[in-house]
Amino acid sequence: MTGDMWIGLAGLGGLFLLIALHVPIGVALILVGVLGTGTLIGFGPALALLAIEPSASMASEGLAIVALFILMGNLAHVSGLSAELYRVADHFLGHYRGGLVFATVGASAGFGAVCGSSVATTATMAKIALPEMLDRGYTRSLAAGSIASGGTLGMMIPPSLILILYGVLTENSVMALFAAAIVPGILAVIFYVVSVSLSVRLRPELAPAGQRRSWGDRRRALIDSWGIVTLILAVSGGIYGGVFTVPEAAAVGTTAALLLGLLRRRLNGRAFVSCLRDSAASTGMIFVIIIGASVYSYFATLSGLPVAMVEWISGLGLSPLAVICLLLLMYVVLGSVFDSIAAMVLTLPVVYPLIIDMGFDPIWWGVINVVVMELGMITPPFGINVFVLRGMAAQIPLVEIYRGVVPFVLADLLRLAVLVLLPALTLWLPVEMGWIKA
Amino acid sequence: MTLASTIDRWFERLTGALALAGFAGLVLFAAMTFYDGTARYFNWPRVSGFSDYAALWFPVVIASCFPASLMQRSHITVRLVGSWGGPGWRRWLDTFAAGVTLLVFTLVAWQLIEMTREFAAAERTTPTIEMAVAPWWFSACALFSVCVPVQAWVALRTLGEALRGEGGQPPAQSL
Repeated sequence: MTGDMWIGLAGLGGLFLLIALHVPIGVALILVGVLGTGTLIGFGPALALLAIEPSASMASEGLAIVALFILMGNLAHVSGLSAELYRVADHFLGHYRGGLVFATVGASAGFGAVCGSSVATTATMAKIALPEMLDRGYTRSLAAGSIASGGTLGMMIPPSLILILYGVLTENSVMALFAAAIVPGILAVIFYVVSVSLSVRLRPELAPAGQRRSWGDRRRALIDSWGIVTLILAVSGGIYGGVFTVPEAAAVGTTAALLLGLLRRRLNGRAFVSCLRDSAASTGMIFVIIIGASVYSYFATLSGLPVAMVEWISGLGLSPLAVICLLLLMYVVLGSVFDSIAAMVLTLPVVYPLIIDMGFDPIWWGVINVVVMELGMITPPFGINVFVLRGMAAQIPLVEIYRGVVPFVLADLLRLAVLVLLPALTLWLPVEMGWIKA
Repeated sequence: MTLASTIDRWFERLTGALALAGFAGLVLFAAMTFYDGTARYFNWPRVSGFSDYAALWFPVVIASCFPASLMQRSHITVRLVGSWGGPGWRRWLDTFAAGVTLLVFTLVAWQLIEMTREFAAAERTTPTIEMAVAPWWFSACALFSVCVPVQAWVALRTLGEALRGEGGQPPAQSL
């Protein structure tokens, strides 16, 4: 190891120390990045980084869409569009045993398509679906587990904020990532439904069957939900149909969510102001992390640490699959302690070169990265979605929520194995759509 | 009403107003993008130099978010160590973190101002419509600089809470 690499390693240690001392992750990344760069090439260029990286991030159109999608999700929620989605799913699926769980998973996937955040999806569904499931005699563990797990779909279903960040930070096509996430997203829904069906078949007391709705009721619910359906079609249809670019789709979605809220008289002045403020605070939080990641990446690359790590791991003689399995294990642990975006940006400077060096497709890895972090969000000891739900439903003990997520964790593990062993499942659609080469 | 709560309210109003103005700008930009995208299909007049406007507008919008984010203490933070050591330990760690955050935001604000002064001196313009870059970046810097007094206040308040052995940070916010 050279002296520069030791500095890189010391920087990594310092980073984790600062994070342990409660320093916000983005701030810790910036500080370590500047101090490390200063030690390596002098503090003049290091301080200049503090202008170069923030200004590049703040002026980036690719990153500005993060702000737009956050705003769109908040507007859709305030306008009551998420509740309509749940109502439709309930009307079509609620009569099956465990049907409200299917409805929750379906509505989470749908809301994920306009929201892009797991925690926001979990928080939204907790307000809408939890009282309904408890009223209809579903056990607390299954009800809570389905919401916490369904919430993870918000991170996978495009427009996913984390996929946008991965695309921008690694300079991969966001469109290709969105296309690659579709099959894994659909698989998630299917695996969840199968897992819950088996659970309620084995233990019918978990979830009673509901009353079947008439086709007239279903039609009315469907007609009432035109707003959210329009929004999903405008954003997803626009992106995949090649009608809009991703930034245009974000702008169209935001404008449409605003107009829908105003047309339906759900968005008054106070709600609008609160929506803008919340969106601004979330955007600021994400941008601190993004700026931190870019400053730290500069330092990490300069130190030569990522290259050394790649060489070291390659020298161990492990098979590529074994390396992937080790990385997945690391991400499950990280995902249960860190926020998903933080876990990704902290590891990207080291992990991404390794993935490329081993010859894996970066688009495939981006999706796998998200799937494994979804898993970390619902696994003990600190699954963040579980804590969000616990915060919103204080009457449900943490142990019960963790018990409820077990069928979903098993489904996620199975899906992860399928996606790792069959990369074509992930890459088929972006290849077919011409976003990446076969 | 105490002086601290008056200052708190004042900063909340200020950061809220900045965030509101910035995001209102984002809504306008979304509407403009919507129009430009639609115009492409209907052969309506397009917005000339659209990407130039984006490059100038986004820094101002994004800069307006940081003060509100700091005031609401919306950070992605891991509080494991604090939760092991009890409330007193947690408060002192929060105070340390608030101080480090203040240092970093002050450095970034200073460097952004330096960069903008260089833009102004070089009379830098956008590539297509040749609009001067510096005024927009000065606006972004002004908005970003609000982070310094806001975070100084947050750090002071956190220190006060640690000294008095009361309060404490809200739980870490996350996505």
